[in-house]
Amino acid sequence: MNDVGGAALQFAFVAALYAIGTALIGVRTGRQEMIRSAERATLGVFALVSVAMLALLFAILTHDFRVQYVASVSNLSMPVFYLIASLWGGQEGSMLLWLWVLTLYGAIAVAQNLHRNRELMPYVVPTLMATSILFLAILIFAENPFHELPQAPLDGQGLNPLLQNPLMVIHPPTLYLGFVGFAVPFSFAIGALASGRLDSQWVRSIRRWTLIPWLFLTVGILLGGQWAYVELGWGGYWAWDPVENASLLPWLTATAFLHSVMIQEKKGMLKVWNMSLVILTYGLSIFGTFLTRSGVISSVHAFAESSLGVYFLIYLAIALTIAVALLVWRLPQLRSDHRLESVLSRESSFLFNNLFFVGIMFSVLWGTLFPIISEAVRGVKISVAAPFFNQVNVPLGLALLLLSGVCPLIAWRKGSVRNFQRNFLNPLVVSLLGVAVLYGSGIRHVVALISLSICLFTFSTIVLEFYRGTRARRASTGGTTWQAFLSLMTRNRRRYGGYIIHFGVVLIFVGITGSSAYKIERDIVLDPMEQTTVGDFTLRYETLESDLQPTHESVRAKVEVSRNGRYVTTLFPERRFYFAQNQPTTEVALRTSLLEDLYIILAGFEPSSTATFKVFVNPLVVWLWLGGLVMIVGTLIAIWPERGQPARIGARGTPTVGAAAEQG
Amino acid sequence: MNTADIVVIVVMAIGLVVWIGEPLIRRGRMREAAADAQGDAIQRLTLQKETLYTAIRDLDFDHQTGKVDTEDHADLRRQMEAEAADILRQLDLADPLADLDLVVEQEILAYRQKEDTAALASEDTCPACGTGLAADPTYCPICGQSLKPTV
Repeated sequence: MNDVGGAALQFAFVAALYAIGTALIGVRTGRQEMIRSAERATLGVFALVSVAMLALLFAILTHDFRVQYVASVSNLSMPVFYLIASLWGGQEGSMLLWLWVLTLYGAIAVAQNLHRNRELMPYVVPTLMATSILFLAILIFAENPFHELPQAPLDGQGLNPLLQNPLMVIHPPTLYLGFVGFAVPFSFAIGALASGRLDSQWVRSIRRWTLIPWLFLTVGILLGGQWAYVELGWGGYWAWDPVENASLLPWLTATAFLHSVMIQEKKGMLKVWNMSLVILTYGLSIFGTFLTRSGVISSVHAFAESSLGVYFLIYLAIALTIAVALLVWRLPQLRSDHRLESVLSRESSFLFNNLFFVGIMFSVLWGTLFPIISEAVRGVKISVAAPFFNQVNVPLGLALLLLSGVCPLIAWRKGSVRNFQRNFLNPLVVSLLGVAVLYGSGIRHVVALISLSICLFTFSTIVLEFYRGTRARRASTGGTTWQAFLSLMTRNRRRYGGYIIHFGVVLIFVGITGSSAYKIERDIVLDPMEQTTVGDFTLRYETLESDLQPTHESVRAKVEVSRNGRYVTTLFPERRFYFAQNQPTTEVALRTSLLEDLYIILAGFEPSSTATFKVFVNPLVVWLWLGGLVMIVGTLIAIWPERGQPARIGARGTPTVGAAAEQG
Repeated sequence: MNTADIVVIVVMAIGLVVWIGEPLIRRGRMREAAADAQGDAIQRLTLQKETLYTAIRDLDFDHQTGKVDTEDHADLRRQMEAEAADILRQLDLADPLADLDLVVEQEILAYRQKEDTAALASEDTCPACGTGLAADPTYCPICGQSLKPTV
């Protein structure tokens, strides 16, 4: 089967090259059958890469340790669940997964557009296939997943124990589904530029194609944060690590695009900007993969390092040069249909939103690349630590949150004083009252107060939006409040889904604020049966137990937790030592509630059973994950296909429209 | 490499070549291209139309919820309606069935006029509303009164 897998990759390489050539010749000569053939080749590439995936999975499940990859990421004792996960647990496998997701997206894009966007497709296909060729070249020439060892070892090394966590099993595929997905909007942008079909149609065609990868990336980032929180054992969820930043960079530009694209759809403005954001997002997702894979920047969890950097850099240079050249060539056709009429309008608030997103992106990029830049300029690798990122990004992030509250309330074109009074008074009062209550209850942290007041403001504007909308629906259609609310949601899923996403963001900010402003961190040394207090909690260290498993040895402490004299729970912080990988790991003991997380790490122990603990009390962390769930719900509402909803236009006698315009 | 692997690889290669080559052998797809291009134009206009309709709906809603002044609302709506009318005109021209629609409309109009004349000529009037009726009607076309004697 290994030879079949290898051959499938080589055939895919040839087919991808064929697709590029045939599509471009086909569009030059106007021969549709060639374009069709190129599209068939795209579907063929997907089938071939799927064969390669299955072949590798087969090798892993049958413990074929002749294959170097299989021997390095799996072993005989691993359960099937983690065996499947080891398909993407190492360098070659994760590249193969990346490629497979890309070709899957490509196949779906081709299948969806057999009778649509015909003028764009001859360019969409080569763009997608060019990206595939990058990965196929790496997999065939540099990192062959089917490479065989001269002699098969008796057992494999097994998956890195840090990765043996259910979150880590779904985190990489989710992140890839996000990263890779941006190749599709990029290829449509290239298609629009190359074919000259620059009206809003390409933008509409990729709307859902941007939201879906965005959702996956959002979920992937949050899962990564949660994995870091429960598995790495340093008490936090985000460390501005280069690999984390790599996933955040395209997310920021994609989010900016999702907002500014509305201006293009509604007003025909910002066309060049949107095009640039799509190109930038794609560039950053390739760049992110490069950062993770090349080992250029050391990271706490760069699991797969190698010298692949050159491939990525050459590809990135070529792709961006072509994209920018096309963009410059088409500049005259990308002029705006309208001009900005007032600084206080929804258009301008969208513009500010975009500037902040891109500003954050550049600061994160700068901070991430600083070690390389400083090494090049001064010969010393200097890493920028979290304080830099926080100092720059906390104000920008808060400004963005404020905008998300302000923006929906400002009128298009120009806002008026009356408009402001009417819409902002209540949310402002709510947030000021909220701050007064928080201040009264003893919160003095200035940044936390500012952040929470903005959270309250934004939250109340969202509630106000739903309230006003429901009332207006009820006034025009009658029925119960609930019916009016539902019809409000179904009539404009995108808008109200968007508000729900904003609500999720508010919750995330609440979580971040609580856990960073009021985090308690303590190092304690306890003898058995000794106790201490951390925050409101009393911790009593009872015993130390050790346990021998086939794959690892573990030592765990039993800690009884009580609060105000009342028993809360018993926690078991644990340290493990994995024999196969010769690697110790920390198993965090965690007690989560809506108010705070109690987080205990067993940092060390002595033969006398005296143990050292690292204890964190992280307030409100759970709201971060809940906010993530709310964001998922909101996005699903926004992307859910609209059909069969006869949408009527107001009372002025404009004709009734058929199904709403959602054909993304 | 064992025999089974070789067989699978050969089958894969042949399948790929057939799959990709088949559209090249099958001819007569040039017409499809022309139709698709026209379809693209209609699709584009339809999307523009729908975008505008959505924008008008949003504008009305923004007005209803107090985000747009009445004056601004009227002004913007006028602009958008003009744009929508323009697109509808273009759409009529681009649609190959537009002519057919026109013919059907005219025929219906002619038929209606004939009916009206017939009604005028007829002696019968509706007992409920007094409208003149065509020969042997089942229901009054205006008020819906049943004109057949009930059994």
